Amino acid sequence: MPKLELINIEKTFQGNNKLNHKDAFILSDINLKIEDGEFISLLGPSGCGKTTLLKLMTGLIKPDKGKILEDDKDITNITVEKRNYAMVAQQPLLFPNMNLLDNICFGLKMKKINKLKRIAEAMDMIYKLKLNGLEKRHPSQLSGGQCQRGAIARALVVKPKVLFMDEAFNALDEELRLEMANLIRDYHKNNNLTTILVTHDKNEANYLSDRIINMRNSSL
Amino acid sequence: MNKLKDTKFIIIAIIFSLLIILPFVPLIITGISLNNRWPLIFPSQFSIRAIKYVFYENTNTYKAIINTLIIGISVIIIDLTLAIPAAMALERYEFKGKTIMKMLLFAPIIVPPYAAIMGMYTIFIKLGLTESILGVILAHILPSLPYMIKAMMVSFNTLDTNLEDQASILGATGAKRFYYIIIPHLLPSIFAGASLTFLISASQYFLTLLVGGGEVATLAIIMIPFINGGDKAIGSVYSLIFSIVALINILTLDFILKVYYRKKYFKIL
Repeated sequence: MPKLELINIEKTFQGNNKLNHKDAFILSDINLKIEDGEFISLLGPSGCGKTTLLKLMTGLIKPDKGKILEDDKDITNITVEKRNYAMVAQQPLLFPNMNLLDNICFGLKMKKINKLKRIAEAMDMIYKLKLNGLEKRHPSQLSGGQCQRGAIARALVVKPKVLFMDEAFNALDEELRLEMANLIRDYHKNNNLTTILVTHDKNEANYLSDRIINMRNSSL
Repeated sequence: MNKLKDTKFIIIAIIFSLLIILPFVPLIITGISLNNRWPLIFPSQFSIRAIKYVFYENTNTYKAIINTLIIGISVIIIDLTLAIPAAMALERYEFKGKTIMKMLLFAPIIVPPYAAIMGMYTIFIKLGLTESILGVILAHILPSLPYMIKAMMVSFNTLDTNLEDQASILGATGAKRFYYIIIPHLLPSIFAGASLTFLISASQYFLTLLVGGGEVATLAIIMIPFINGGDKAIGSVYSLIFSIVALINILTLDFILKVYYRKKYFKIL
């Protein structure tokens, strides 16, 4: 798994009032090094820029300044779909027009994995996440917990180089939250998966991560 | 309680069915009557003269039906091609002149399209587009495009961009995101916009007459002179054909939509 490095990253979002710069949201001078196979947590209050930083790392948004390196290779301008990352957000974001199995197979299909292998790998993940029997159901026919497990399965099945999680356990109840946290921790350990978790829960961050990075007022 | 609900539902269904069916009753009666004049409701004599004329004597009828379908379907395709990116830009992006652009795109709803087509007519003559189906198709885009854009805008407004972000992280390129995420979400609006577009296109009389110069026969072109005092019986038969063509169009679109939802289009396996 790769190591990630953020060098002097800067990103500004203009507020609604273009003349009033107080409305603008600025991330500046962000420097961060994430080691190969490390589990880090970005901890901080709401609105401090955690999700923006996560989106910058995934490539969903481009920085105004600075560089992002993956194994010392500059990937700042490499599009998100070519990076082989995966993300689990607070909302499951399963595609509503597809059933659970199709949702889990989506990433594999995009990587042009053949049909038989796709089904085998997706079913394997479905069993691991105790979703068997629900393959043909659409997201509207699943509970919140089942949807979130489906989203985790969809992210892990593509064997991503880096797994990003944005408050991924927030919508779950206490019991399921612990179960999912354990599953992610075990998967991370067994596969040496570089994992970045955004959370505002200190206990969750302590329990899961090798390192915690505090974010305050748009800086680390 | 359930019985009462069922009875209420049946009564409401009957009222709505009557409201839809009733306008066709005078059309059918007039279509099969001979010299039926106001204030007579029921004709004294029946005849199939009008039906005979429409289906056997006037060879333009079939040509008009085919032209109406060709023009309507072409306008739907062109409108969709223009409306999807336009609606996407208007709903998702902030850019200079957005309000002006919006006003321009929706202007044909307020400004009669005849005003615009009068100016365009000279260009159509220079390009040799008058008296041709292509010219009529281009002219029909004017009154129908705003409705298609509006329908698409409603759908784009409710499409969560996080779904597209999720798809792109999983490796979907722009085209694949469009096919797997955007199109399925837009489908109901595409269906609504396409139905409306077809009806607008099929109803155009003046635009078709002006640009088509009488050479492009559509149902509206051959129907309206009969309604406007020519022969009410023939006008009624043409009106019925017009309604049937419009209904077939709506049912076909509905069928395609249902098949699309059921079949393999969203299957990743």
